[in-house]
Amino acid sequence: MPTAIIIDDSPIMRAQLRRVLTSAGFTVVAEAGSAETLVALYEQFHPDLVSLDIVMPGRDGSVAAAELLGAHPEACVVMCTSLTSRDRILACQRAGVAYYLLKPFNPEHAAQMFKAAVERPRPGAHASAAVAR
Amino acid sequence: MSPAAARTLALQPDIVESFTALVVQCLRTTVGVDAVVAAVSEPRGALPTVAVALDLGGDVRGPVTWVFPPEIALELVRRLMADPHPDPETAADGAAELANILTGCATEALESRGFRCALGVPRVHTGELPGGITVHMETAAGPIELVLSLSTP
Repeated sequence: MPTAIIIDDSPIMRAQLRRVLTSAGFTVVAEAGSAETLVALYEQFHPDLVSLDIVMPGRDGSVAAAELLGAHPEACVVMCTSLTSRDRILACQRAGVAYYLLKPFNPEHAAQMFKAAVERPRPGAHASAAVAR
Repeated sequence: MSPAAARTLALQPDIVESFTALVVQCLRTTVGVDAVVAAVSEPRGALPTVAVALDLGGDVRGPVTWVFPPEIALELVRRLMADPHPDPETAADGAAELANILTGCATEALESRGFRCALGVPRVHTGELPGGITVHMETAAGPIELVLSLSTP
């Protein structure tokens, strides 16, 4: 069963994402209200997917995504945001984020995106697999 | 800032109209509420029940303040948490997230005119409403007020 981490400062949004991820077959292994501990949580749990908000108190989600993907290019990050700002989305794309979930989202569409995101081959994951062999 | 955005008046009537149109559309999709713009004027000065402010930065700066009837905030909680009877104390969380979603959607009205916007974190607003252009919207659940206290740097 795939695993996920949720980073969002809104308790009700975390609750919705937990529900959607669970319905899509994920096990949510950790949640946080800020991105300060993102890399530490990732290294502790090695989740298959990270759902990450952008605008949060403290560290900006796009900065945290760049930091995570710099250290762990195999990470699968879905930005979950109400922002449509081109600058912020471009910043996330430059960091290697390929998936965006715009709030408000349809739970069924979100579940499909989460499943598709973890099924997509990732360069880092291939490299890890090659080393393991 | 693009040449189009170099105009000094950030809140021309067409921008307010576009911003509000996106708000009305997003309210319908987010909480199933049909809102009708009743007036655009100065703040009424009444103390809000559930008020949330977000600060915009970038080419257009200042707070965007929302006043929601608690029932609309709770409707978002109902929808997000799939809980038909949410705790009334979650209304503030619902209002904050709703303000975040609506402002994020509606800033497209600014971005499409070349104004770059950075959105801040929602915060509960207490006390009197700030000055600015106020959009009064009527809904079946009660009135919504949107105060745009924005200016160009």
